Amino acid sequence: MTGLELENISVWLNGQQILHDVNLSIKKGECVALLGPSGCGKTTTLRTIAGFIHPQSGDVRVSGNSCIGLPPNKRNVGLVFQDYALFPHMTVAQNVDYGLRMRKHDRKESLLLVKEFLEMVQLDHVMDRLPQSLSGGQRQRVALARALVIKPDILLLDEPLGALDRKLRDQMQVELKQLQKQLGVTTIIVTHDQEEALSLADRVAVMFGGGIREIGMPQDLYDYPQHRDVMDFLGGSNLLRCNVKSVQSNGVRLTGPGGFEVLIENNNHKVGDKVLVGIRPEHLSIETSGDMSAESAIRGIVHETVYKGTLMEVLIKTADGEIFRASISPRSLDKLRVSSGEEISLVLEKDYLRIFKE
Amino acid sequence: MDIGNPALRGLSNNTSWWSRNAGAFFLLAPLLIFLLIFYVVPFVHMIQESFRFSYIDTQTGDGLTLHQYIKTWSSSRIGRVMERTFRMSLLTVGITLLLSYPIALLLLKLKPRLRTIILLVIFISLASSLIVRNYGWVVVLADKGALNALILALGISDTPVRLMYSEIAIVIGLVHFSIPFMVLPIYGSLLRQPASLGEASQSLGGNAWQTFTKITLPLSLPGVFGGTVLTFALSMSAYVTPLMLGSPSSSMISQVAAEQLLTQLNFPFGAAIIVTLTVLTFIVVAAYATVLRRVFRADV
Amino acid sequence: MQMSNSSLPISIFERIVSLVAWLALFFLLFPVVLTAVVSLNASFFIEFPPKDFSFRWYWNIANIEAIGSATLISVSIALAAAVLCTALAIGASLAITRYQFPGKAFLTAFLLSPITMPMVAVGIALIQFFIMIGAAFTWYSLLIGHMVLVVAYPIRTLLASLTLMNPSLEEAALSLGATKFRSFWTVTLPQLKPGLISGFLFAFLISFDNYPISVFLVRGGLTTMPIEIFNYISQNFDPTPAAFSTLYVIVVTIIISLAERRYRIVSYSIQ
Repeated sequence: MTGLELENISVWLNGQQILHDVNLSIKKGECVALLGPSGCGKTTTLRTIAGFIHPQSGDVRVSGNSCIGLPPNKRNVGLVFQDYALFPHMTVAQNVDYGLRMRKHDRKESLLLVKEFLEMVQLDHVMDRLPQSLSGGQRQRVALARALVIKPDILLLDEPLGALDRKLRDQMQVELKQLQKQLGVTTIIVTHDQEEALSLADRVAVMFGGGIREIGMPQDLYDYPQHRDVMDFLGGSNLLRCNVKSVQSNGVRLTGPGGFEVLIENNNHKVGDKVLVGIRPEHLSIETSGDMSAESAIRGIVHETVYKGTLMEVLIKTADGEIFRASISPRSLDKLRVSSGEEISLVLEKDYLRIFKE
Repeated sequence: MDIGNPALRGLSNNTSWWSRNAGAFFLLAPLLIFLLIFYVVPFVHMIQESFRFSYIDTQTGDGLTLHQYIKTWSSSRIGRVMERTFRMSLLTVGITLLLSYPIALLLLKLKPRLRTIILLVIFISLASSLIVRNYGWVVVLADKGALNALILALGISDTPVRLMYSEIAIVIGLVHFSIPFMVLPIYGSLLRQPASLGEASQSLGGNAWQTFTKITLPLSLPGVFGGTVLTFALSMSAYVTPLMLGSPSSSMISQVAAEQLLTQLNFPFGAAIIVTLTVLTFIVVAAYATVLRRVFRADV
Repeated sequence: MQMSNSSLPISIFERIVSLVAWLALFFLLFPVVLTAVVSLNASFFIEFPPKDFSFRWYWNIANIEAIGSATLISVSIALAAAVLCTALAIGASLAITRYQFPGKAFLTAFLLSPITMPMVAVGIALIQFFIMIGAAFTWYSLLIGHMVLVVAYPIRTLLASLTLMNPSLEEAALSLGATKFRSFWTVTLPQLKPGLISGFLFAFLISFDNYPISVFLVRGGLTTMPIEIFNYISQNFDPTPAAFSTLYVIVVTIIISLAERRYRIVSYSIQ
């Protein structure tokens, strides 16, 4: 059962094409994150679903019904704005009641619903306060309650956790996910923060330049991305420019910088092909002794170590001057006792190698 | 924008009130001295004069007296003029508001270039001489003027309609004068509202009318207040406009006061009339502000 | 602010608002345009539509009694008033925005009060005062009267400018070694240009155009342009004032457009 469908959506604004043929299909009750850098079109997509932008071509269908041509106030969407957009001249209760009032909902029932949803976000004790007297986290929960109380077909969240500090953000992540699952409302989250996307969503759609580059479940997208820019955006990567040295019966042999050599199973390459090999910093380990020309390893010297709290980032410089990053736990690094300028070799975990075309 | 407590931004460690604020004193002194001598003193003197007898009165004496004020309040002519001035001012405020708020709303929707052009038009209107602007209405409303040409052409009437030198003409002139004073504060307060508020209302099901009445309008009350108070004060004290577009039977209070001074040379009486006008205007404005603050919870 | 697309449905309410707005703007411009048309009318009366066209009324402006000396007095008074008031306003608005002291709100209201004070009141009070001190009907007394009238305008625009200004810039200058005066002159003052220019312009234009205060303070040879124009309108019925009005509006338009292009004054007058 589809909750939301975007079919070939193209949007032009001020003479520029912002969205190029976007297609998206979301199941009812699913939570999908639109993730990407600024300017990728994720907010435009959100506003098109909400009805503030009219696409030049394509269709938006909610529960199977097209809503192109419907103004925002006739679509049953719940929108939580980046700045929360709480009405400053109304109390918390009046804010949450607003959507019900617009729908001419029965007054007695509305009162109960408002109370119920404010209890759900643990804010029933501030019902008669004005938004200015609330903290950022509280305001966000009021905005949520206001959007949810109208039982929307779709919940749209614009950078929901961006304005909150670390601790609050972690807490809200859990609460938000629980609430979404509990109410079973089809949800779209727009964010540039990959952690937000990976932790909140059932599926993540990574957007670049007005289109969805890749969509998948967080784990799949993270471990096995199909596109190099998706890999780079999600968690960062090291990219090695490699050549296909030989093609054998059991696989293809690649060679790359710092003496990198590895046998992979992919059979779609010819000798002389150029490929990009990607590996995440946390899938690299350091070898200081032993066979320096082991399989799937880069030789180089320690260029710099950066303390990042839970991880140490070690930068290695190869003979050709290229720099690669490895993320090692501080404890492991202590055991290795590496010093700046020392010759080491970085071993790339074969299972996590991603091969991309040049 | 919060620039913090300016006094705390200073680099001195002095805690004495004087050394912290001496700068302010010296910066303000020239202007304050000027205004004290040429604004406060003349006004105080004028108020004092309004409590004296003038050469025209039968009673004499150097003492303070309420005679001029009694004369003001008991004169049926002045009572009529006062009532007329008040009525016309309220009418002007109402019409100006109805015309200006849509202009402010329109400015929000326009593209930047067109918006700047319209704003410039409003500014130029503000800066154009009042005599020039009222003369424009003389041209339009004259018996042989544009409006009558239209009326005759459309066959609405066989003879020119007398529009000039009447209350209608004055109100038209006052509205025309006041539109910029009303548009700018309202536009300013509309600008301060984040666009997301209107969008939130729409996403919750509010149509354009509901969004306007429940969200936009209540939040714009400070600007509406500023504009209406200014328009009211300017209309109550109007002098040039009724002089050019009105007649003795449609005169306004400032004209009566000026007449006492210029033609009758009766300072005390003229002073009493104008002081009465100023105090009345102030009382109305204060009451208006109180109502807005209490009843509408507005931030005025 | 708005990201909406033109093909979104527009409600009836929005349509009515737009219609009223455009009509109101038309109402605002209409008399000016008409006056310009009438000013080119060859015939003696203000009639519409004009039958023949001629520039004769523009030449006739010179024939308005005392228009030369009146305009000179108006220009000199307005210039002096604008310069002096803007200078006084700088100090006052700096004091208000940079310092904390009791009664600041009351002081600000007091300084801005001439805007809403009945002009006739100011005129009556001042002429009585000047007669009392024996300085009535002089150019200086007229200047003082105009200064009292217009000083509130540069104060208002400068208050807006100063409040919007970034105070970190001055602090940066001070930390780099500039004295307080130097930092003010080289960093603050240039930032205040829009507020200064728009305050100066308004002071000038409002003084130049003023009738009620001038009419109480002048006599005989001392007269102002608005007074002479007004006298002419009361005594003559030809379209000469129309020609004058059109010229006036053209000059004002040029001045304000130039000020906007160079200094962006519009945004500083929207509180």
